[in-house]
Amino acid sequence: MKAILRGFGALVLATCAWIPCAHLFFNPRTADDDTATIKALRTKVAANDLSDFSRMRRDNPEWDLMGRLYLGLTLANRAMAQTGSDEGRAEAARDVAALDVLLADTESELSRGGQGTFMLPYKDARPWVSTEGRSVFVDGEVLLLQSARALAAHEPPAESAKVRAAAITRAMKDSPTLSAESYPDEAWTFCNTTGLAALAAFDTASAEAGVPRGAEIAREHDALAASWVSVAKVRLTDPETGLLITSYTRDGRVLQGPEGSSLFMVAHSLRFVDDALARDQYARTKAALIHDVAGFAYAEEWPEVASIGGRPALVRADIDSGPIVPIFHASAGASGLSILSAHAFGDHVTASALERSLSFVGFPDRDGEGRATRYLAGNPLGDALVVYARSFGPLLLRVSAYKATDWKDT
Amino acid sequence: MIKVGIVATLAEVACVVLVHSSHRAAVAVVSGQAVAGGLAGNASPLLGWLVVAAQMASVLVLPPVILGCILHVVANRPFQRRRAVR
Repeated sequence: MKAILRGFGALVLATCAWIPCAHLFFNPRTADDDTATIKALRTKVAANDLSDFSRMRRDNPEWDLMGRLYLGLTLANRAMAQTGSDEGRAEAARDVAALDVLLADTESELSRGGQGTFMLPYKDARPWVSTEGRSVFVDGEVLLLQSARALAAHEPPAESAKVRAAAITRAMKDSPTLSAESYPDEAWTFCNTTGLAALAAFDTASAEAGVPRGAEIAREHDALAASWVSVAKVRLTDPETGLLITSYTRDGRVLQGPEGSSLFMVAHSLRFVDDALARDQYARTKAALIHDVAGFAYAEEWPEVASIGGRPALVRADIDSGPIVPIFHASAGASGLSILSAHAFGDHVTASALERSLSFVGFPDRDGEGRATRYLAGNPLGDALVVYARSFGPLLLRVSAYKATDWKDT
Repeated sequence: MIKVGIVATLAEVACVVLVHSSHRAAVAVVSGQAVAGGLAGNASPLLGWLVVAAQMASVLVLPPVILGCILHVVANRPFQRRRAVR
């Protein structure tokens, strides 16, 4: 009996000693990893090969556009962050050139197959409520990409960007919730906040390039953003958690409550729109969904999973949450996007713990120099998301600098 | 405990070999496209989950067992010596 007790005691002691140290075998990403991943992605894009992204359409057409968005924003951030040295300018030119290929291919896909190219099949399930029948998911992400490109290249936004900005503004203003549809009679906070962030970046690019009537349009966008935030605080907020809901009908009936894969992106996008609300949402989402177990952090998709009808979380896994790790309820989608949010709010401790988990369960594929070029348990969208998260900053700085000027009086 | 330690060590080696030699192929089944595909009924994520489970076991479960067995054997040596002296 004593021997069994001693054996059990030794196991408990060893577990207590080992578990807190296990995370030390897995490092957060490094700048070298980022360089390797970006170069791997950029090289193929620059060669006009976007097959890695378009292949994802088989499983989820949205992932194609989102992958393009995150890679494009990474390239724009890098170009904006480059120093004035010859090598810096050359590298920035390569980033902008790849961004141009990315945008040209995206426009070409849109003109060939329409917005449905990047949308799930249920887009055809019922008619659009708005007369124009455009998706703010597609318009917002492409406009953000175009505006970031304009800022990186120090050029005015393209004509098609002006059309998209006007379409987003009309669709949002015409809606009772000031929210444009992503799918027929289905509005998403994810897409509407991305749309508002895109309008802010568009206004900054227009102002920097001295576009005529730029300030007038920017004032209209600014008023729309302020009104959307007011509506969101009252009608789009879950009363129990204070978190923004995920999706709703155009007139405000809740379809999906708060979800991690949406909230982390929403908090990031709100940094371009309303920093106070952004910080509030990040703090609440982090408290409700991010957990740290022995130095490994992860995010859940839903707050208080256990209270949802007593059903196991695995049953509820969907296309947005990705697979859910049993017991911990860790969601691949929410955990990936939480890395973006952590970097967007300068929460480096949380970001490091999340990246350690990524090294643990993401199975990094390393090149000859030991740099992680991609994650075998992920896809190009995940790779682009991680490098965008770690490059976050330059675009927001440009938009914030513009907003800090007395542009409203011009 | 020595037998448990030997089994745990062999299992650790097996898990590490599985993760480092075949995870590329196996994880491809569960990863990115296939995870969603699996959820949509297009592919089975079983093989990928096996590799993830092996990774979990090799990092979180088996090392404490091996360490516990070593601790137990080392801690028992004085008792065994005393018994041998008697």
